[in-house]
Amino acid sequence: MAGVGSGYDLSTTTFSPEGRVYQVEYAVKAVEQSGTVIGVRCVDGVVLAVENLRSTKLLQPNSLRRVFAVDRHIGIAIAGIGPDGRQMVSRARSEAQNFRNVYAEEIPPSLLAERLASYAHVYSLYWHVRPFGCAILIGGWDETSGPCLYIVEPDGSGYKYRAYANGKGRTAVRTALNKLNFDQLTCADAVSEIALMIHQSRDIAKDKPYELEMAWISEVCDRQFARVPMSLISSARQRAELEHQQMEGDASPGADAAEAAGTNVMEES
Amino acid sequence: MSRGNSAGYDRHITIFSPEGRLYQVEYAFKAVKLPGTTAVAVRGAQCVCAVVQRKLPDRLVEPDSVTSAARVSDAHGVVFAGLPTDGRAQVQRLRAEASEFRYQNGYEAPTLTRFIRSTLTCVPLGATLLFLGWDDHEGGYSGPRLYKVDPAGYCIGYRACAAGSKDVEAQNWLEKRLRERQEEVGADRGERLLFSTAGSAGGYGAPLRDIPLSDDDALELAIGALQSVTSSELKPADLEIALVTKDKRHFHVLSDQEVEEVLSRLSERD
Repeated sequence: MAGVGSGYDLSTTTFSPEGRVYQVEYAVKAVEQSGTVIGVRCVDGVVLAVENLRSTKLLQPNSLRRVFAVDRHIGIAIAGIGPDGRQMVSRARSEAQNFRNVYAEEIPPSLLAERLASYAHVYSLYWHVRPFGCAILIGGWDETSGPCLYIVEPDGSGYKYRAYANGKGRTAVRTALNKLNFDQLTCADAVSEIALMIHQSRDIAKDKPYELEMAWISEVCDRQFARVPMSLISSARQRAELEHQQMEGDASPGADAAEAAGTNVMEES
Repeated sequence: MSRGNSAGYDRHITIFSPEGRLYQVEYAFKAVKLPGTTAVAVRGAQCVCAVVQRKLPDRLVEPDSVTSAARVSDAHGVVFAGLPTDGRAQVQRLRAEASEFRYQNGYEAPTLTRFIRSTLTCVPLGATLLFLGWDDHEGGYSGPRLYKVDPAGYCIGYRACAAGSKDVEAQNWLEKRLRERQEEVGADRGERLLFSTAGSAGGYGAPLRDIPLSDDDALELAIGALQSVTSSELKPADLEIALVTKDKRHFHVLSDQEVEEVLSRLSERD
C-alpha cells in the first residue's frame, strides 16, 4: 500500500505528476474508517443516522455524540474523525448565527453548505494545516425547496444528495440505499430502513458494539431539528436484529440483541 | 511515471528545476485533466457561449447541485474545467472582487481580466477558467469577450477555446471548422487565401480573420466541438450551457428545458 504517492504525498500543497493531491485523498480515506453514517432525504424531511462504535464498556451509554443541531432548521452528522467534525460544526454554528444577526433570517442550508465547503477547501491550500479528516452531512429544511441533504467532504465539495452513506459499512449500505423508493419514503420508514442497513452492514464477530444515534429535520417535529425519540430507535433496532436473524436463518438471539437491550433503551431521559 | 527525472525539484512551487521549469505548475495543469470533463466556449459576433460536460460523481447526487458555470457579475460569468472545488474557490474570489469593485466605484467592472491577480494563490489551483462576458469599456471595445485563464495565471482572449481533459482535440476541431468558414466567407467575397492554413513555425497557422458568427452558429460550434471529443452522444442532462447575448447582456446558465430546446433547434438546422 505504501509508495503509491511516495514523495508527493507529504504536503497538501504538492501536486503529484499526475495532478493528484494525495493528502486530500488520504483525508477522504480517514473518513472511511469511522462507523457508518447515513443521511436520507425523505418526502417529509431528512434523517441523519450514525453508528456510534463503543470502544469500551466503560463508556457511559448514550453519551457518544456525532449528530448536532446547528440552527433550528439544520442538523449535522459527522463521518470520520470526530474532533475534526466538531470544528466544522462549531464553524457551521457561527455561520448560522452570523447570518441571523446580519439578515434576521434562517440561513438557507444550501448557503451553509457552500460556506462549509469553502472552509474545508481552504484547509487544502496551506502547508501548515491539514485537511479535515471528516465528511459532514448537513440535513436541513429550506423555506422554498423543502428538505435537503448536503455533504461536505475533505476536498471541499458540497454536493446535494438524495441519500448518502460513508464509514466502514458504506459499500453494503450504498447498495441498499440505491434500492429505496425515495419518492414514497417517509422519515418514520427511513428510521427502520436505516437501522436494518446499519445492522446488516456490520461484521458481528469483529465489530465493536454500537449505539444508534439518529436525528431528523422533519414535518413530524415542525420542520425543526430534533433527535429521533429513543423508543423509536430501539424498536427499529430490535426489529432490524430480528429481521436480520430471520434472513440469516439464525435461531439464537446472539450477542447483539443483548447489547441492544443494554443500550438505546436504558436512560431514556 | 517519470519520477526519476525531476529528482526532488518537483515537490514545491517555490523550486525551479535546473532546466528552469516549475514542475508543480505543470502538475496543476495535469490536475485540470483529471476529472475527465471538457468545456468549450465560442465567441460570436453578438454573443459568447460556453458548453460544459456535466458528470455526476454519484448516482444519488442531485444534478442541480453539480455545476461548472457561475455568474460573477451581471454581465460576466465563469465556466471552469478541472477540480470542481478549486473552480468554485476561484468563483468565490472573483465574485468578492467584482462586488467590491461595484461597491467602491459605483459601476460594474467592465471586464473580469482585471481580477486575474486575485485568482493566483500560494498554491496553483487545478482549474482552468473561461471568462465569458459582455465587456463594456467606455470609449473602447464594447461587445462579447472570451478569456481563458489557466493554472499558471496566463490570461488571453480567444475567438473560441476549450479547457479540460480533451482541450487540445476540441480546440483543433474548432480551428478546422473556423478555417473552413473563413474559406467559405473568403470565397464568397472572391478573395484568395494569401497564406497557407498549414502550421507556420509556431504551429498555429495563419491567424483567422474575424468571421461573423450568429448566436446559433456559435452554439452549434461549441456543442459540435464537445460532441466530437466525447465518445457517447450528449444528452441534455450531460450538458451545461452558459450564454451572454447582446439583447440582454446578462450571463445566463440555461435550464434543462432551455438546453433541450437549443439542442432540438440546432438539430433542425441541418
